[in-house]
Amino acid sequence: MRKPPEKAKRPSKGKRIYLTLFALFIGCLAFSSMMLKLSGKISWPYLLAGGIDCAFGVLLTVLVDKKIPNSIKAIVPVGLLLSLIGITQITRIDLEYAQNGSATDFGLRQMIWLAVALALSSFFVAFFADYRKLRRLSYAFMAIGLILLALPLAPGIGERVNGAKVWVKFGGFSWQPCEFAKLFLAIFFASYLFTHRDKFQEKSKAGKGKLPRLKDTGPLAAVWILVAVILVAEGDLGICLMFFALFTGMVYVASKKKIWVLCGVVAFIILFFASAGLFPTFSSRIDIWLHPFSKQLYTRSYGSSYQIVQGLFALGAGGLFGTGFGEGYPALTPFANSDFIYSSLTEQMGFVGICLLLLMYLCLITAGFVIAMRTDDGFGKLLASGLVFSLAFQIFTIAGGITLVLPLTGLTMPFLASGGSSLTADWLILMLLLVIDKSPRPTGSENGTGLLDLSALRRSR
Amino acid sequence: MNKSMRQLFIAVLVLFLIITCSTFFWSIIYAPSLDANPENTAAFYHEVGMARGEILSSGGEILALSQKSDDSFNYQRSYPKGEAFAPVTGFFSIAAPPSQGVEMSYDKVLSSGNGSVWQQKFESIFDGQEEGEVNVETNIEAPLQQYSYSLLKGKTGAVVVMNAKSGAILTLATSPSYNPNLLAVHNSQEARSLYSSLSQRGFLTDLATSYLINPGSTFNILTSSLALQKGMGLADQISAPTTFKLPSGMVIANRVYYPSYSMESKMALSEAFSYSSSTAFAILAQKFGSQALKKEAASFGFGSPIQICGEKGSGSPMLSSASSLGNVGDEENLALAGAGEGSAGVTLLQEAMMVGAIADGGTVMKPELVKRTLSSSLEVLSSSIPSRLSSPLTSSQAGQIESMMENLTKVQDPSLGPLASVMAQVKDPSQADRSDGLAAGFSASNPDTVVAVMLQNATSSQAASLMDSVIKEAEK
Repeated sequence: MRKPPEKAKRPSKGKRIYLTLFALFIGCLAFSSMMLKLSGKISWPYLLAGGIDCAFGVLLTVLVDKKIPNSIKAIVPVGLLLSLIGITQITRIDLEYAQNGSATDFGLRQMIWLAVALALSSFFVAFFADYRKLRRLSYAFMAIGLILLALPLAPGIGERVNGAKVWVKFGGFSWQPCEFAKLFLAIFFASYLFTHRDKFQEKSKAGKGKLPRLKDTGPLAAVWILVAVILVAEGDLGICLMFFALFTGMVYVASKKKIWVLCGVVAFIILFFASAGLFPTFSSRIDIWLHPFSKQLYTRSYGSSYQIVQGLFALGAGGLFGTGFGEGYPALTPFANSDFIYSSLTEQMGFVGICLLLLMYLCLITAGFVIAMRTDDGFGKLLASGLVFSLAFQIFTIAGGITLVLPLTGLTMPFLASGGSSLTADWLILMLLLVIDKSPRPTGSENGTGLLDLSALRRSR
Repeated sequence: MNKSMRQLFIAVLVLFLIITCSTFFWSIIYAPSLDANPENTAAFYHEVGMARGEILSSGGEILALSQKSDDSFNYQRSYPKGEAFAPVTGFFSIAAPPSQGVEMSYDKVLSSGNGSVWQQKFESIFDGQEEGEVNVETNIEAPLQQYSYSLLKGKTGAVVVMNAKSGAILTLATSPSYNPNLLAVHNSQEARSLYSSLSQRGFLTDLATSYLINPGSTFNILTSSLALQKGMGLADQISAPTTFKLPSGMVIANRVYYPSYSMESKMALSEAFSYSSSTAFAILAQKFGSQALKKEAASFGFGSPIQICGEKGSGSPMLSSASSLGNVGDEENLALAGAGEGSAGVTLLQEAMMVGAIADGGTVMKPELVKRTLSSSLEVLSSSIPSRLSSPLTSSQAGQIESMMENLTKVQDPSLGPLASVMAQVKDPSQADRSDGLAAGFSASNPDTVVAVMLQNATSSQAASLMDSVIKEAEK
């Protein structure tokens, strides 16, 4: 049963801040060298916003160090470095737009959003004592999650971008509520599965090989179907796929039954082909996935393969080491700073650079799994592994879509892509992971405070 | 639960392996083919932004160079001599791939110091240094080109100067021309709108190599050379009526120079040549037949595009349009072709080649615009070797035709001095109200330099006097 937390030893005091400072240093170096190369100066709004970002980054590190001293160290610095590289690339594309005669300020806006995300994260770490209280509100979270998810369908505030209606225009700025909906629904699912987990497991009364009774799976299945219906109505299969990954991953962790994974995959495939039959947007995406270089698909005015082919050209231009920040022509690809930041970053940093970014993601994902494995709390395990698996799946879906492994979806790269709502939601996921890491650990395990405590992956319980 | 979590983690590792492999595929393995895709604007922009080798005149004057620029492209292409040399240099623009001149025919050579985006990546990794650019030296005599263009300015026409011995093209001027500097600007909208307006107005068509014109009596060189080969002599009497009625009722008439003769009159071949008798050569063509005439024309270079410079490996070769006799299947058209009318069409370059064969003792040389390629340290990398296309005449036959051409100059335009030339005033079949002047020749004292001139909306003597000026300038 639950043990009181051991008195934390702090064998490596102060190291955490060095990691953060190192990440900030690298990020600022990349940004300022790119900026100085392209425009010769860094104007004061960028200096100011960058300074605030760095200050909040330091504040967050100090707070984490104080409140959750034994948590994994890599999370905040890696998150910061990814965010700063994203800002560098978004600003770099802004500058190319400016050279082409249409100035934009997505980079500056992303810097402000990073400050907001870090401030919220600091607040969360400082005042959010026990995440287990979230379980009490799980049904409320379900409701909030579904409402947020359905919000873009509401007349008047929903916005259609690129055929998908997943944006909400509210008080002058647009945001994507689905990112937050994912957080809320993940909490609901983790809580529900934790409460009913024995019903899903092999030794349940339902007998081996059989599925659990409808009474137990009912609410879960209902929410699942509702989510799918809402997202298909909004026209975004990518987000739908991410939710499927979240649910399926969590159910699998809770039940250990592969049949659930099969159910999830089959359900998604059915949904996929049904939507492809129903909506022309989906079938055109499959066409351009299968024949991106077809002249007819490339030049057609609606739903053409222009964007994906330009993205591939950018990948090819990157080669092994990339053109370097400030070189090349990343802005030729439409949405190079959001949907296609993966290809525009490959153009700038090359295959080696993008592998480093993928390693950084892998670092966060590993940290998430380590946290899930070493915590003693089942709810925390489910929540952490579900969130982190959906994050990993999101990265796979985007990179796979751009490199033609899968049809293209409208998802954006976590931390890197331009967009304040996803940046904030991604940071809150990281904070949730850190807070879960605060929960009691099984006795006998060392309180790993290393960068990643990989030993937890080996410990099988 | 940890066991299934570990499985989930392994699944994540597999997913990441998949995207790493797919990214590797597109960014490394398939990159060369993406790079070569014509739709790849980024690769083209990359090339636009790179340093290219220089294009030089025969004296080493710079006709095109790349200079460092401050914008998102690293280098700006510029043409110090501007529009006078546009037919030679061509243009290098963001608006369209190079489609003219040396920029097109030596595209790969000029950019070879850079390689493709993809190639360069690997090369700089492995050898750690950039190669220098390769420069292309043309045969163009810059002062003569400049002078010819200044004479053409304000008119519509072209001048070709060729060395008859080597085939080297010393001047290739057309008017109106365009300023390649304006096409080379990095503002893509500006470049594109200029490009489309220029190509609509036809400024990008080189009048010297891509415009076909009726050869008129300049074609008599060809028919005469056939006559000499058939064993005729200069003094042989041929029939040369004032007018010659064709089966369709159309009439070929002799020009005003020709003293009045009666219908049945005959005159010497040399006389018919000097007076540019259309009827005499129309009848001669009918006598020889279409097969012989076609064969003779082909030996002078008719019937296929002439490669002016470049080969497959250097870019896309610069080609002239193919000159042709047109349809000579029936008697009527054969007669018209003999008179240099009807559907017969020649380029000005072909005129220069025909006259060049006479100047060079009966040998047709392949025209060549480029002299050699040089490394950035000015070492010679490759040189063009003069090559002979054919030898339709013996040197004594060529001498006989030369003497007829000298006589023609004396008869038709005594003010020109001791030149061997042919001249014609022809109608453009598509523009009946316009007549164009055509003249080609060389001076007896400097027979290696052959000049051909075409002027639209002009008389043959206007073209001839322009030719005379260029010949005099070349002799300086």
